[in-house]
Amino acid sequence: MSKTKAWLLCALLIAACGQPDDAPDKLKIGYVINFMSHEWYQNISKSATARAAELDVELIVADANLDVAAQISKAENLLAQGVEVLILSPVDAKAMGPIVRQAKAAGTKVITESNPVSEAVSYVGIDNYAGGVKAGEWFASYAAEKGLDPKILIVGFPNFEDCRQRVDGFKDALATSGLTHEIIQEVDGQGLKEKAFKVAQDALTANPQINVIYGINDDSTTGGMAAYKAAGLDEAALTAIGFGFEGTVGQTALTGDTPYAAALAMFPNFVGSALIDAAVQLSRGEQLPPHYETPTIVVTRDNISRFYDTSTEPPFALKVDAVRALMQQ
Amino acid sequence: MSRLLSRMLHSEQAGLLLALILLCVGISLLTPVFFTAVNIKNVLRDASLVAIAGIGMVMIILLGEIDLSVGSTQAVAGIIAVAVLNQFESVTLALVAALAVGAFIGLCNGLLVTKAGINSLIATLGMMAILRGAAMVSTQAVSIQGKVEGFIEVGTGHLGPIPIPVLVTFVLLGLFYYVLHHTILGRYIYAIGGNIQAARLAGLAVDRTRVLVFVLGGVLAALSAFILASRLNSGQPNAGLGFELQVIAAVILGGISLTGGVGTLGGAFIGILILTVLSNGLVLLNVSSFYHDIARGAVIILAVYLDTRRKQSLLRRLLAPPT
Repeated sequence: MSKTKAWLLCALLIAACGQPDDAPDKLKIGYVINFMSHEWYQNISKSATARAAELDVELIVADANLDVAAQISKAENLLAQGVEVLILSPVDAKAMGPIVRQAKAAGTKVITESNPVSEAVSYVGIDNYAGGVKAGEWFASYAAEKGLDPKILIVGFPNFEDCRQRVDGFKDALATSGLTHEIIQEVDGQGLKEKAFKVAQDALTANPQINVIYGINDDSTTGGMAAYKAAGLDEAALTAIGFGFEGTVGQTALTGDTPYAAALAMFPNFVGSALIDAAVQLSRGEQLPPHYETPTIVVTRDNISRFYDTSTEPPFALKVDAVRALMQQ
Repeated sequence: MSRLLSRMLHSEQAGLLLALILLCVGISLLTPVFFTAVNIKNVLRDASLVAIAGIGMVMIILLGEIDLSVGSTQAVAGIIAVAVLNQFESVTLALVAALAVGAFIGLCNGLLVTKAGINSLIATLGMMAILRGAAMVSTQAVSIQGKVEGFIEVGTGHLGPIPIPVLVTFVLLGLFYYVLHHTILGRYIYAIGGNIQAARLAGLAVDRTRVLVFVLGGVLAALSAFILASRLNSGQPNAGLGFELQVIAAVILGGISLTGGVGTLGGAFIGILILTVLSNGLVLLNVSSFYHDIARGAVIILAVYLDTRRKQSLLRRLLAPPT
């Protein structure tokens, strides 16, 4: 590079740095998401971005891709960019302490999604245990009404605390309901349809009497359903219950002619917009509860149209007001 | 019969076969379900996904190369298959599209390794990331459902009593056994993997062989992806996460040397069966998933130990002075 060119480049760089911010008083929020490749986080990210545009705040989203180290370094980058509120969907809640402290030192407030982190101001998300209880209570009354003799397969993901809580809540609700039931087996489907299919297939081979499948997300439940079908068992005898209702997969199964009877809906689209609402409230100096709980409800073929516009093909548009009404209850 | 038995016992894979038999006997003592027709079918069907991609991997590793992109190929080829299926309502066209994508991926890998001179570990690592990204971008991380009746038959259907994927696997195993041991291509693969310089000096078409093997590897990985997509009746952007390591671990357990030139298809298939039987057995026995990794690691080490010991004793016998 010639000397003149080098000087020119320097001048350009300085000029670029000197550009004033286009909107200096706009609230700046940073969000490091856990795993953008999952439909759940896709929906959260989309609705958070939409809500940010609605409220005219600046939102920067980064993806940790299930890597704690990447999450921390991306959060550091956002802090360096001077975000006022930092949102984290923790890859590992226990590893977030240092970055939360670092944010505090920089005067940035931290809220987390789904998992509480000590020292963070608040966490926005559902109560997984309570959700599991709701699913269990719904199933107990459904089974009693239909006169089922439940032999249950649980397709879980025990590596994660929130997934364990979904299962614990379900089991506890069944136990207190007084319903005669048997939990035949719990398998680890890792939240993926492919893995869920494989382990459910083996469990069904060992225990073909299974007639209920409870999965910790839509892929776990539908993977179990596919294994049931592939095993040549009678689908009419199966009741499948899902947790999550994250998007297309669950919506297609629940509105189609399948054993998918009910899902504990966690409304990811609502969680995304609630995150931005919470961040805005925080920046105005308002107090937030330690758990900013977003609503859940058991969705079945009977009540789905209350919350979703089912006149189109999935993914259905969310009726946000109906969910907000649940939150106020 | 006894000659066949003694040949089997003295063959390369006897140690591994012993490990597999011990494992099967152990599990069936613990649960009667293991040795039922249904379960054996399940095991073979699960193994077939790894085995079909594994045949390609065996040839690639025999060359002294590696292919890390087979897991991401599961996602990309599966998505393309389902997209084409829904568009044209033809299972055949979906298969052709998936295989073409696989061939193209393999061609890219092969050219990167030969023409661009990039180490295959790096070239296919890059390819793995690009393909996973492409799968995510094209679907926005949402799986797509197959909408054609009959597609699911490929992965779940039977021909007589034999599941279709298992039949495909055995046909391919036979075909590629023949290719590796009775054709020029096979001899080239072993020669190049054994000593690439010598192969070059001997005037073998080294680079053309390497590209061809990567293309075959890509096609086989795509075929396995097609079967997976059919089983799940959907193209999953998350399909095949970690699949490459599963395939590589299984074929190496089966005695394929990472340095190239050493190992057989039969051994690799036994390696695949060992790992599949193990994960099947652990679920049948209702063992908590936290123990699965420990068991897998222990079985890998034990199987390789048995194999090494048997080879050593064979070597001692060969070297011992005649009495």
